[in-house]
Amino acid sequence: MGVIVKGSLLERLRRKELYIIFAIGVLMILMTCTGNASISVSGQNLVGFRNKLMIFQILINAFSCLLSVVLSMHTIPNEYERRNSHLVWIRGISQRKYHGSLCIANCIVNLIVLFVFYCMLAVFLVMNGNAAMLVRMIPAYLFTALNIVFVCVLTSAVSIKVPVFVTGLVGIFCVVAGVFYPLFSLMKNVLGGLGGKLIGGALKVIPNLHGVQNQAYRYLLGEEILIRKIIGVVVAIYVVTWAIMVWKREEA
Amino acid sequence: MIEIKNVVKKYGKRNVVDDISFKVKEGHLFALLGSNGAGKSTTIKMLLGLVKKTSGETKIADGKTIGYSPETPYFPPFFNGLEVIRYYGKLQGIQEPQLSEECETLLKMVGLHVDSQTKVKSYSKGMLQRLALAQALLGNPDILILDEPCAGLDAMGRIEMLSLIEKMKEQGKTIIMNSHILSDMERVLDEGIIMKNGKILRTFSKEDITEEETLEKIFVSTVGGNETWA
Repeated sequence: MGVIVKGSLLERLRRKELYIIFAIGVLMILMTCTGNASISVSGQNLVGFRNKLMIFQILINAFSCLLSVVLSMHTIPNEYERRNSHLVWIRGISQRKYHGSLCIANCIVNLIVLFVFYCMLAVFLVMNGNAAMLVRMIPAYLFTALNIVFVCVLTSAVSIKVPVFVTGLVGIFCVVAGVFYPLFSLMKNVLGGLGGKLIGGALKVIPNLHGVQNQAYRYLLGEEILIRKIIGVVVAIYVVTWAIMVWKREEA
Repeated sequence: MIEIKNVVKKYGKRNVVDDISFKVKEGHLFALLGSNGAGKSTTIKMLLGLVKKTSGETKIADGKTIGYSPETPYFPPFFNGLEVIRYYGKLQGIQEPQLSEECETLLKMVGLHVDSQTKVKSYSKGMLQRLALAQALLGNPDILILDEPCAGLDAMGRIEMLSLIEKMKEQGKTIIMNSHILSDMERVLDEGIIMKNGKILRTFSKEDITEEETLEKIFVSTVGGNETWA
């Protein structure tokens, strides 16, 4: 299993797209959250450390989740497209092990990316005179990491069964709905009717990624956290992990 | 040793492999011949379990290990030749120090030891074919399944590849080989089948091949000569 994980990691680290998307993410976060940058919502400037920290956390979560979709959706289909799967299957490696290993590689790459984003957050905290918060960064990182693991495992699982394009759409839809969960909840209530029911149905299946990210933010500030929001994503990870174990390809 | 019985593979309504049966004896080299789209590669893949049969049976004697060299091998381009072999060796569960010894021996055997530190992305098609054969030989399998092993090789490469295949045969390995190059096949085969449109048109053995009745003549008379260009 470790051999496949290592091979897949090496390949990912050599892909240029990882660095390009990553660089764009870093730039956008730096541009919005450092120095004299200001963010306006409905014409009102969001100023102050708490607001900036919240925006920083939201951007880290959103970028990392989107990056997780982009970097995970090709991994399993590529193996089959290149027929590398032939040389793996004939060696008696089960699909559960094979897909599981590729999924673990996806998770590791994206957790590394998240770690780098959190290093930038550490710089931001120090620059704003809040070095004391650094201690609380590790649990906050782990909370956000749950979102990343969920998106990676979901995307990997879906990619076993459907084409890359559909996997990408499913992944991005889940990320957008999960990251902007409160907005979708509001839309559900405002719309009503069929549209409201559809959104309501989707929100029952999609975990509240915003909720988890918000707990990371609250933890950083030393506020009380809602553990049920975190348990929700843990349960979702458990379910999609089963999909990785159970879903199989009929042919290599 | 290997038996294929009434195997059918359908894609939609099309029978890619249409009710074929044959047996391969231990230590023999069995040739799968046919034009493009005859169903040779699909047959091999069904035997290996890479493609699901629509119906029929494939049997391989218990406890026999298989090595497979694909027609268009893909190897991670950022690995060098040695790393590729080590990667598949580890996947196969071969432990050190046996793994290192085997990798060195196999790379020498296929003539890639000099280029073992070169990245696979700069390998020629022929070098990739030789690397594919080397990974197929990991763990000293009893059965070798070679899908177009001479494709992309130059004249010298083909001669060397055939010598290797003959050597494998001498070691008692059972080999199933699919190739378009009839003169190559004629040199090494024990028996075989000629396929067209998923069906077996003829079975033959090396005794059927004479100076007058060459494999090429047998093939053309079976498949239909100019009909293939129609």
